[in-house]
Amino acid sequence: MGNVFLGSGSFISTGVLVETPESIDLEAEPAGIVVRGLAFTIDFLIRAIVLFVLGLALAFSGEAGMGVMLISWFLLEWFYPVFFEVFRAGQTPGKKKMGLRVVNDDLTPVGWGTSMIRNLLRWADFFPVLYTAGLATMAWNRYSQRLGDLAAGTLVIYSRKESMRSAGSDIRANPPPFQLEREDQVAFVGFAQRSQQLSEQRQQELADILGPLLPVHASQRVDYVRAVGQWLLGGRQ
Amino acid sequence: MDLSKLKFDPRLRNGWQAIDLGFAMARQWWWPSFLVWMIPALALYALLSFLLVDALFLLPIIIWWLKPLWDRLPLMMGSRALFGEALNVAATLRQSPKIFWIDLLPSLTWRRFSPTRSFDLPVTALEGLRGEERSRRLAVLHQNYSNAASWLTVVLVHVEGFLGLGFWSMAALFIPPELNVSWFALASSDGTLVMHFSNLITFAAMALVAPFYTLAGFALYICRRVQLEGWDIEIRFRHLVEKHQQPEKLAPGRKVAAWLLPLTVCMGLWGQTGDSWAQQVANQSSLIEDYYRQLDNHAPAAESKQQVMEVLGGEDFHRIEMEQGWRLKRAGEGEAGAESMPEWLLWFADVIDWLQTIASPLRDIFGGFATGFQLLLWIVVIALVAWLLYRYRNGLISLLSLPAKRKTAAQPDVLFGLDIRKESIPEDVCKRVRQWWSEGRHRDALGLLYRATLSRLVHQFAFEFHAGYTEQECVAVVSRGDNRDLSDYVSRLTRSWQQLAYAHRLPEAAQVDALCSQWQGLFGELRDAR
Repeated sequence: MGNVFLGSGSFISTGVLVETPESIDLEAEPAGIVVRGLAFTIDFLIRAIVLFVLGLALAFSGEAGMGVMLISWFLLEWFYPVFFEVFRAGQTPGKKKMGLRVVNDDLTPVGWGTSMIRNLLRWADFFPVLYTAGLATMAWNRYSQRLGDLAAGTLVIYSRKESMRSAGSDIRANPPPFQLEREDQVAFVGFAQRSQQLSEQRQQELADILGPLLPVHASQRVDYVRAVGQWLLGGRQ
Repeated sequence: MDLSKLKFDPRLRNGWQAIDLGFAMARQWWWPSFLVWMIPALALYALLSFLLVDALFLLPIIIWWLKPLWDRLPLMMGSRALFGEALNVAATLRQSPKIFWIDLLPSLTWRRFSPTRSFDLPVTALEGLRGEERSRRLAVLHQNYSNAASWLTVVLVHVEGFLGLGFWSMAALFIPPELNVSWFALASSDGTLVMHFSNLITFAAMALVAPFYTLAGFALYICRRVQLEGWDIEIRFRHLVEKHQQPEKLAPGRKVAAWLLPLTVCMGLWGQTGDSWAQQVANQSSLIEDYYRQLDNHAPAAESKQQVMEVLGGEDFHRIEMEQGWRLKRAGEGEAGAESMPEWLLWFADVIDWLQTIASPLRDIFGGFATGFQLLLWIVVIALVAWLLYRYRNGLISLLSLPAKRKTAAQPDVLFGLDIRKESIPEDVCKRVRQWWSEGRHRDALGLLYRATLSRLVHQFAFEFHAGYTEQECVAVVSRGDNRDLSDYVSRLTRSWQQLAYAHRLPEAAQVDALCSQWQGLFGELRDAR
């Protein structure tokens, strides 16, 4: 409890970084309890509806129907996630809806073995009731892994959607006045793309930060920075 | 607001990612934010449990109702910690009366049940906005994330409930079954001890979830501001300006080079005008020589070699890894030798036995249905076996070395543009070939020989060529047969033919002659024998 009362927090990171043997850094963002809980709920409802319809259909087939019902329940409960994770690139319908994906902790796609382990170990996460153990581990774990994930070495991450929308056709493009690092390029592009969301005063403020570096008059700075962003997005007029 | 002190990476996040950021904050600052929430709440809890002895069931309800107040303290502390200030539990607690007082009434009445409570709280508690102003601000903030904020509330309400039930059932697990506790009677009784226990569990669940809920709402608010105000852009722009205004920091090596260049240029200029030009040049060259000598002396070859050996001898290059695990043991492997062979068979028999014991009650249940299933399964098995037999018929036939029944229809009439039908080959091939060769129709001669060979290979020796084969694939097919002379001959002939056909290089006359006479030996005889 050393620095409990007077502690300065260190940097809070939410990502996971994996370096390949070729020294390429792969980044991903693990998904937390809330979004995963919702994805689980969607999958749960799908399973429940399927079983309900099946139950109606088999209601009049006596004990044999009961048997088929139990078998389907078993298969749905345990292999529904495995099936989708292996054949649908780590996405059950619920995860797909929420934009999530299961991967190994080195960000490779999951295979049969890992998917089976993480899903069969759901019973450990269920302990003692209603996934309490799983919730606790996910809240506590840096990468929001439940027990099954820890055992199988898997992560649930946000599947990324790249958007390369232009900043708007009315903006002219202008090459950057000096060389830009990658992060700086992202900032310029963001400035151009988000001109609808940022208020005009704020845009002026941001452009004024760059004032000493820009070869234009103060009143033209916003347009100039947007033009550089447009150029970086591929605009060339 | 100094964004350079920010304790997180202000990217654009979607609502869920913002919530995750809040959870990461709660993990990082767990103890301070937990304590800051719990201490005032627990104080009231203790007080009330003395005052409300007759109505203990009210206790968790009151604590729960006052949650908007408790939530303000972790929020206050988190908002400071996010900009690098120290987390100070005592100071935050001292400020609590002032913090609690902000907009007290609306928070506890009509805003108490707002699903976006934690997302809205920073506007009230940190920005201090009220009434119309507050609504306008919220309208802007709610254009994004309000959906995620509501779901955050819904999910965490459930988590809190699950956690409470989890504690209950954990407790139940520790009660021996011999005691025969009637849970229903216990839950509905109003025994004071049970009531206290139940209250405590509810309180614990609330206190455990609260920091996550509050800080997730705060993270949503912060990420929304990152979006609206472009914090990420501001940080990069400031960094860029800083970088361009500072004198360049160069690496030492580059620094020397950078100094050296203007120096030499200046020296050159002086030298041209002044008297001691030669002197200057001499100095300069000795300087450079010194530099190289230093480089050489720095690590003599022997020493660096020794260093390399040391590194190679080090632990990094001599890592021993032990791997332990269960692996299937092959029959006949290891010391058990021949005896272990039937072991897996026994095991297999055990499995079958076991399956049968399991199956017998099932069979009773399924009855006629099972027989139907069984029939179906047998049909599938038979179909599978039949299909396998059909699929691998060729392999099986050759395995049993049955005389292969060739389908004449499968034989191609034309291979790479050459007609190889039996009818198209003249009776006396060799005579015709020699005749054409002497007449100077070299291409026709060798072509005929090659064509005749292919034709015989197909019709006499029953090699299977597909219409799409190349010359070399034909050679490969022949060499797979066990007739060594034949395959040798075919490969030689093919090479000669290819050189003539594609490279326009004539073989020697003697070679053609030899090929002809060998042809007679290989194919002529056999034809007679048939």
